Amino acid sequence: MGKNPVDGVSRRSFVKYSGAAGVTVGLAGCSSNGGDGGDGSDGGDGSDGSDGGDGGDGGDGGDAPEEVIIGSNHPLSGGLSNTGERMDEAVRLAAMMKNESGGIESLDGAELSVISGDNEGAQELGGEVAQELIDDGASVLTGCYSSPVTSAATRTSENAGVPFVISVSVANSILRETQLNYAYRPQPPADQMAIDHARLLADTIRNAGEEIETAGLFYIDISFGQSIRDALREELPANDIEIVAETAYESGDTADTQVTTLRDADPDAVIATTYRSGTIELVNAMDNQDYRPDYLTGCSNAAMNDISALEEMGDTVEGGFATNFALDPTSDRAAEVRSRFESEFDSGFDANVAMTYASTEVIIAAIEEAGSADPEDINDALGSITVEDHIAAMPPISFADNGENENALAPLFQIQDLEDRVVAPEEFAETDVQF
Amino acid sequence: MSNALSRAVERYGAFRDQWYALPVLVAASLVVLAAIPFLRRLALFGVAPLGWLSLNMLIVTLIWATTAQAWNIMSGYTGQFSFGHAAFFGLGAYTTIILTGTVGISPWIGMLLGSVLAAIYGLLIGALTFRYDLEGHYFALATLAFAELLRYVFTNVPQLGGASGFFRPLAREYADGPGLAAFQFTGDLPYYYLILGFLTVVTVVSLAINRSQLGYYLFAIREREQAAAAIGVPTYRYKLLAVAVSAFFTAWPGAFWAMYFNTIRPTTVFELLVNVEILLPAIVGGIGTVLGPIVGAFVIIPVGEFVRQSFSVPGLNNAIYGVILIAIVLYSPKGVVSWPSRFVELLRVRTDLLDDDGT
Amino acid sequence: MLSLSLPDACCRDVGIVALPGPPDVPASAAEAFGGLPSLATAVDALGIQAVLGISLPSPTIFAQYFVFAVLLGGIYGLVALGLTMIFGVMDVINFAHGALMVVAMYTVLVFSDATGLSPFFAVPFAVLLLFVLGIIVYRSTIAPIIDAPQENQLIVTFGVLLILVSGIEMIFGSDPQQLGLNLGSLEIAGVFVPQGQLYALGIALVALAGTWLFLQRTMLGRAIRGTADNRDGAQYVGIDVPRIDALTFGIGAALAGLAGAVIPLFQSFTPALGDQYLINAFVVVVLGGLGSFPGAFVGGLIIGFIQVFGSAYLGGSTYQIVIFSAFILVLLVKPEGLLGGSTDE
Repeated sequence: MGKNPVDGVSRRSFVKYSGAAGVTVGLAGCSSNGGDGGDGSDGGDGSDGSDGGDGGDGGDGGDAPEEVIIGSNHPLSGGLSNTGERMDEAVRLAAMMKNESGGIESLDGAELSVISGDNEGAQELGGEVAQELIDDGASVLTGCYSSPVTSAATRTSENAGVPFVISVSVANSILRETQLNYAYRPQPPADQMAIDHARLLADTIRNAGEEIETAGLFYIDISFGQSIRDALREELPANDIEIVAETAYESGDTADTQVTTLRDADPDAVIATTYRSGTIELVNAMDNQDYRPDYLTGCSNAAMNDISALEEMGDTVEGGFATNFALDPTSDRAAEVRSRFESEFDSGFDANVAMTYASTEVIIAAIEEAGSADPEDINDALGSITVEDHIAAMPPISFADNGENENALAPLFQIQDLEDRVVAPEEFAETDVQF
Repeated sequence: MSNALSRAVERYGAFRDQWYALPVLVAASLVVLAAIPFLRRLALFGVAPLGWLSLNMLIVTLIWATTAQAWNIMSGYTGQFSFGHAAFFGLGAYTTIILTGTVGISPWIGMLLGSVLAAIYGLLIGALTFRYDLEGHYFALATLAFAELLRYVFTNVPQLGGASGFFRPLAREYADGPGLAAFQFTGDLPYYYLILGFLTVVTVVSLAINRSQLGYYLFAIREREQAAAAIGVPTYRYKLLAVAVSAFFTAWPGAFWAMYFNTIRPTTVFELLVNVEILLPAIVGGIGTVLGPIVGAFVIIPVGEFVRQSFSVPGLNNAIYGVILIAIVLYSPKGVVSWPSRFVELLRVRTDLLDDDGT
Repeated sequence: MLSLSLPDACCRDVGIVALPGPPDVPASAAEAFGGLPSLATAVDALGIQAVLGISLPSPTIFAQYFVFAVLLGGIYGLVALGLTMIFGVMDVINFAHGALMVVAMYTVLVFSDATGLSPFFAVPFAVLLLFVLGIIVYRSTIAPIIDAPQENQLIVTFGVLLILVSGIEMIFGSDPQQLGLNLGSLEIAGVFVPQGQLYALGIALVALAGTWLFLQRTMLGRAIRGTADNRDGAQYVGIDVPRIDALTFGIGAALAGLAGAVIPLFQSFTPALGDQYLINAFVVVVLGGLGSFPGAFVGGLIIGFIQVFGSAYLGGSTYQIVIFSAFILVLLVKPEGLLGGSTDE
């Protein structure tokens, strides 16, 4: 079992029935009731979380398991696979680092093991992969990046009574259309992202004595872009910023026409909500038409937190702003995770990876809190947990009844010397804003 | 040995020639499908040979078998090759979920209205394309355009959900909780039997058409439309009827998709590839046959699943679909269902030769 | 009532648009229907786009859109050339056309990475490679079933599409790739002309002229045109039709290769990009008339103009609705295309 969790890519073979036995192989070990006592030593985990829920867990706790399995349900092939693979690696890294520091304390050092399933970014496979992971013995699941896939997967885990902590999936509706009792989302969803962007952007600029009154939107015309657009339509006016142009972008096009439209409307800020390639097309088209708005910003735009993309886009993005969930820049541990990730997997660490890692930290804290590998116990722990020690730039994570993180936050970055630096809110700011 | 074999072959050949052969085969296939959820748990020496078939995948297989069966009624029987059946599939899905979510009516009524809407859209497409005598490529492209048109309409009208589409409401919001009445269940098994029920209905309809005067006319249109028209077959009306029936039933698995997968978007039900997924099983199984769509679905989807589970090469399953498609069209255009007959023919020839040698 | 407490797309519109008061109070219309969007809000939602989009542009902005429309139209015309040629001569709709373009895009990427030369040198290489690939695809998949019903060729070429695109995805992954050329742009009286697209348009025009000359002035070209006009007749006068078919498919694939090879000059690309261009190329080919070369460019320009002005003034991707409506209309009313006719115009 070593410190290397099950290889993510080598998938379950057909002999899944033997695999399922893995979890239940109980070893003598002391009763997991001791788990509750262990919390104290764990610092941050459960400062206010050790309420009634835990007491109940002890009752059905039997022998401590040797390992606890986390199921990672991400797109490892298909159009989303580049990000999906790195998210999967983030889950494995979090488990690996926990194992290196001694495993789950409340389970006498039980190891974490990660099994991965490839959902191909396809809705049909979201639920199926979730079920396979559960059949293979996963006590808790995470995933899935694409919102319809996440939606399908969370329903399957709900039916199976296995908790699901969303790694990254932005659509509001996943948790809001239906009351799910086993699904949790640490990240700020679309509406929260827009709320934070509008508020922090307006405040930061105005506090510095500058002006921002109008904005033009550039969004990718799929669910992700449209949900952020809809939220911005509400939040920008609420912060006295008028939307004077909206331009939709379809991936695989140039952004020429859109930039002309924006140029014509001449807003103070151009707010871009799209993926990496769309952002690069936007900047290319702006360069080609020699257009520089006062502020180029990104809302939930991965390219603005991606050093290589920033370098590629160069001067045009310098001084721009971006809102996204992100790594806490004031935390040394976060920096350590980042460099470990880069050396371990030789791939880029971006906002999605950071958020997935933080979600896995939530899972690990819940397992620690529950002192059990039983999905029911872990779910109870998730319902009441407060996770203070995580690497995301947001306050302690704790969940409302609908499973959303009550303290979800997307900080504001500014691109300075082609690096993304947090400038607001103050508690996470690593540097001052520059104009 | 060869005697026993030849007798078996003879008997099968005799059976195939009976009028009841097809209904019996269809009924037998459906019975096997009903038993599959249990067969896959069967273990021999601790290994379950069908254990890798997940219920979820079987449900997906039956969804595409049902769409292919419905597509076949139009395109297989009349030869009007539709490349835009995603339009009907999506209309079924959207009508069901919109009406249930906003007005709170039963998804069953939503599905029925969706089917009627799909049939009307089908009639519109048919009336326009047949009236203007679009054939072959032009017809295929026109149907594709009608499907793409809907995709962008749904993406761009916020009232139709925009790119984010819709979520299925909770059963308790419009019914007494999960159950057949709510079109929602807590486990996967009821969904399996529901979609199997849909497949059975569409298959029976297809079989009935196949055996009726209507089917005779449809085949006549496929083979020689002008000759059919010349002997007084009202080809225009029969083609329209085939489109309407086909569209009506394609909406059913669409509605099922919406209720089973919980959320729909233009990109999940109207996309280019959906048009292909709908007709793929019919092509592979045997175009214009009753069993073909079912057999085809159970060839390609499990093969894709096997590849997905066995190799960790992204995209390999799509490449294998491509190879299967080409191989079928090049070497066995009548599809997998023609294999037993071909096999029998082959054996007959060989046993005849043997017999000749013997005497 | 579910969506009232849950702010989603439609309710937001209701909140902002239908109600002049504070946005957080649900509009009465929405309340009455439990989130069901009323007709009034639908009209208003369209209204908001009108307010946002429709304001008369300055002549410079208009000229800018015009330039983009012409550039885009030229690319679409180039993309459609190979498709229309194969159709005109062989009566085959080549679904693999977009996939062949994708192969060319990645060929350019690999070639310029490997040699360090400018991607412009990779263009002829990609064209040649695609010509060979086209012949291989033709011989192995199309030739055996050239006389079978039309849908068989459609399915087979779709199979080729799946294999090629999955192959590219297996090798290169599905991330957007780019050459990062950033060729810059020319500025003429406040109107910008991006040079990448300009070169692509130039190449497109050369390709058009070259192919046209080949078809008009060479023996082979005449044989191809003869086959396009009358396959049986061509056979009778001694033209080796299968060989002409192979050549046609090869040239069609080479033209797809040319289109694919110039696209990386000005934009990023993924294995999925071919499908996107393919759908538009179908529309272009039908608008211009299946088999017509000048028609391909006329159709390309029409789509270019609809796309550029539509995305500027209609909001979202509404212009696609216009494109497909125009497509259906032309299919019904004038299926032979706006220019009608065949390659021998």
